[in-house]
Amino acid sequence: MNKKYLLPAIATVLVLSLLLSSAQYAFAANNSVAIIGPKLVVTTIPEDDQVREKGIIVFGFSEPEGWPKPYQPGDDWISQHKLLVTYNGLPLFWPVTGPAGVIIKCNVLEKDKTNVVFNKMGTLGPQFPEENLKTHLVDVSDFFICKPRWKSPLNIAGFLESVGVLDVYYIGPPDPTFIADNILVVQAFITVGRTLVTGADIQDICVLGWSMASNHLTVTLPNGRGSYHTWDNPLGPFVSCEEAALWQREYLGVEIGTQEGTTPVYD
Amino acid sequence: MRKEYYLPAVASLLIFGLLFSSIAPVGAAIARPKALPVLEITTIAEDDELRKTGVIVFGLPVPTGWPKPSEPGFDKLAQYKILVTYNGVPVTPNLIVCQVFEKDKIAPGKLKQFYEELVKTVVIDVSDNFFCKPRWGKPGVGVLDVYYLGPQHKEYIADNVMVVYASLKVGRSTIWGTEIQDICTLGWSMADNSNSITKPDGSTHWTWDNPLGPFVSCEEASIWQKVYMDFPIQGEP
Repeated sequence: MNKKYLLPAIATVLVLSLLLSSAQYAFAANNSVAIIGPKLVVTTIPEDDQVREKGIIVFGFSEPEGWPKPYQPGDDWISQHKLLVTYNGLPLFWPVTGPAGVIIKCNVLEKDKTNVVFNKMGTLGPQFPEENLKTHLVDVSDFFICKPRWKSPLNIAGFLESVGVLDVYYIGPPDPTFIADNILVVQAFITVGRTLVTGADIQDICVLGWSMASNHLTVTLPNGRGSYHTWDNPLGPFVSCEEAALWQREYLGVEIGTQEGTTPVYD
Repeated sequence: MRKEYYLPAVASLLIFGLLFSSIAPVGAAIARPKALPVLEITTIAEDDELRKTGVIVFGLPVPTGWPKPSEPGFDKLAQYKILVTYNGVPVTPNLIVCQVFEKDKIAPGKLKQFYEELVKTVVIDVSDNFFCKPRWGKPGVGVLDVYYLGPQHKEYIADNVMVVYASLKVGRSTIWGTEIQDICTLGWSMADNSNSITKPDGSTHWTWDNPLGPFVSCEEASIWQKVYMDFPIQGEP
């Protein structure tokens, strides 16, 4: 090689390697690598049953014959939760008249017990004998409306802060098949520049046919707008909504459903 | 050195300096601890929402002289709600693994460090006795059915630690998350009364209002049941 090309050639190699080393950062930053992204921290506290930590809805059905546990009259279609949404450790503020601040979305999934059976051909069934009972999830989000009630920072009118309560209303039919333990997932969203930042929290909502408390109190609402029922302990002697719902469904004649297994059966 | 080489030599030196400065952070990043992205797992025990524990009941015969309530029936399924998020977004993981450790009290032998160490807790891996199955209802949201498949023997009456691991592949990375939970394995239910529900296949599902009855702790309840089953606290081998 001609000596006069030696220096430019070495310089080219060095510049190219410099370019490559700076390009590595761009490759590392693309979507093929997991990153710690910004997120909202959503914290909820159920208020209806603070011992079992869950919200409670009560349909107010009549007491079925032979019911062996306590019974109290009255209904309650609102499940209540405290709510805090933070971003980088602090609550968010936004003006009432401006673009929406924190958006809240709720998803509710009903948990049902099903009996896993063999299919008609006998080729598919439960994976092991104990799996003849499994949990089946049904999306019942359409039966619930959740409304965040934000507070105003320092009671300054016209501004809201991401601290408040979440009123979750049941608007579905009062049917015995909807007596169940439910999963409530609260998702929060904000837009920061071009980025959607989200967060989520999981909660419980227990839908009961009737209250199993020791006694109840009826509060008359003003201007003849009906009455509000309240109890000391709607789940009474039960330590689990799941079991309480199974008992109430059983006494209302709702049987455990079936579902075909999906595991191949080998001889 | 010839004067015309000065400039290229200095330029090369500067480029080497630039190269080194761009490589140095990579070397530093390898040697330092760093926060990696994680999956956040939240689970809620459903069998006993007061004591925050899943409950398995073997349905063993109640021993003579048992001074607390007892109810018939068995239940080999412990249930948990589960939420898995990545950067705040619910995501369904590629893998869920459960490990279960039985907590047993034993009496240490001569090797106890001080007088107060009359009993100590040993942890035994009993993961093979359990099978956990996630049932997803929406991305990242579902339930975890944990079945007991082991022998229904008095030595397995215990308070257990369950650790739930989840992993998700994101591009070339695998991210992980871990959560701890309780499973209480009882010999029999200590509820006030029981309800047996006949399933469509003819088998029975047992349910109780309060399987742990008067006990506020699975640890204590399991020691009581084991003692009455002639399985007292063991000595250290």
